Amino acid sequence: MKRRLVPLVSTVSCLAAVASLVAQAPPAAPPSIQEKLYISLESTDNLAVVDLKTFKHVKTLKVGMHPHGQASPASQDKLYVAAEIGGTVTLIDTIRDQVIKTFDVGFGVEPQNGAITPDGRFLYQPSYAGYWQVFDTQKEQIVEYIHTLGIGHNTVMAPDGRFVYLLPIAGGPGHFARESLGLPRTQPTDVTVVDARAHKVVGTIPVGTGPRPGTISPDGQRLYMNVDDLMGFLVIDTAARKVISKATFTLTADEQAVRSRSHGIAVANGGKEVWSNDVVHNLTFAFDVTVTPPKQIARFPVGRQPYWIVPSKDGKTIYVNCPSSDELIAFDVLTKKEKARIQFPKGSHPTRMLTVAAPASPQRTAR
Amino acid sequence: MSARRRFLAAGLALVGLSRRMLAQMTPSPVIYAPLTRAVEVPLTAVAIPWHPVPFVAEARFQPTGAGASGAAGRRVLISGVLFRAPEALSALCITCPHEQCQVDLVTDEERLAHMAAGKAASPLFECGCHSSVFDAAADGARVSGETPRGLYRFRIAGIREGMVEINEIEKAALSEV
Repeated sequence: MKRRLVPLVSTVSCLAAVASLVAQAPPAAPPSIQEKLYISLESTDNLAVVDLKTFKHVKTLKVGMHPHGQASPASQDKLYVAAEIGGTVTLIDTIRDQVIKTFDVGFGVEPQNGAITPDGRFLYQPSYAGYWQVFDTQKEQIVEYIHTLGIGHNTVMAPDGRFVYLLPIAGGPGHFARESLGLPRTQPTDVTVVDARAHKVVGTIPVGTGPRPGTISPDGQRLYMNVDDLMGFLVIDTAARKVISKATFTLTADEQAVRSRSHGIAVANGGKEVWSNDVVHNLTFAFDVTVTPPKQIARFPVGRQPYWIVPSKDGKTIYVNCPSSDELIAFDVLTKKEKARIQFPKGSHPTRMLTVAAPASPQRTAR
Repeated sequence: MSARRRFLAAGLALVGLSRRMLAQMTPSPVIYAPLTRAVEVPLTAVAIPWHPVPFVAEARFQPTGAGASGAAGRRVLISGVLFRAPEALSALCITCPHEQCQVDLVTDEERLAHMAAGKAASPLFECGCHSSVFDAAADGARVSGETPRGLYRFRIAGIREGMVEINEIEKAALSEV
């Protein structure tokens, strides 16, 4: 009897010890988030997936022909990728990094860089022909068309999903060579403001020249945007719907002798900084936007012809891509130093990109 | 209207149409503007076909019409390449006429096959920003993409004492690059 009791007692003791350890252990960490960057490799019809924890190119997905802009809802479990030449939008599962399906519902001429409502229901998808299509992701059909004329190109969604800002580019002879589907070719100088619930135009913001890429502050109060013929960016008060200031890149005399354009803009450091690219001079600039006008605080040499720029989810890292040298560069916002580079295959031309904090598993998906 | 008048009207219309067609078919003459200083490249540097030698040229852009600036005009720096193609020398501005990105000469056969759907017989220039394509063998003529035209051309003045001298640039480039 004694012999039988000894192992039993020791087993119970061990179990008690384990239970005690478990009780003392810190609470289980919340299910992890996989922060990733999705980048269109336009010339190869691929979407590259970059793991931002390791800063490695971990997967390549075949999408539509000449992939361009991307959009992801607040749940971050999905990504919509527009294919310029393919004329389609591909839906990606960002948890597993798999293509779910491709929508080919008549996205007009060359679908560009859309934005999606935070609840994931409506994708505002611009077409080169001069309008935006409102794509209902549940019904899987276009439910509204919003005409801006010009060339439908860049889209900014307010953080709360109340308004969406449509940024048509003015274009030139090259742009106008494309089909206009019977619409007149104009050169818009306004941002169109749309009620993202009713899909109706509620106002415009005159910017004086052709709108280019834009982004919005975390509180939704400031819209920052590149425009034609300004090496820098405009600052727009979204409530007043007017331009209140502008930032100008400081360029050397030799740089001023070479025509360039500002393209790509991102908010960093909790809304205190705005970073933007100078394409032809191969530079990226950082500005303090807590002062008026914004003050230039840094400039960085980057790869050849920086094109797009996005922040990490915490705003502490900025990513710049350079399609002519097929590079992706990471900058530390605090120290203003380059952290790392990824070299994509030569000629793949990385262009539009988006950071996504994908849930680690479908259970965390909130929709 | 009499038959004679109808005949005359038709004849005049035909002449007008012919002149218009002829004007459209005849390429407009290229107007060149002088560089501030001629660019010189050793002939030996371009001995091998499709090996571009980069250079930067300087010129002055003098706007015309209302709002034109002072007599000196705006200083313009233009990036170009000189290469052998392979029978003749070619000097081209590498700024894409679409949105000022710089183009690259692509010689890799696999990439050329992808760019021109297997039809490329010789190297092409490609714009990294929007994928416009230009024919390097045809003095940078437009092949495809958003570019409204071919690459701007430099004029080669001649070869003196083993140096290729480039002295002019298409005038249209000065307001665009």
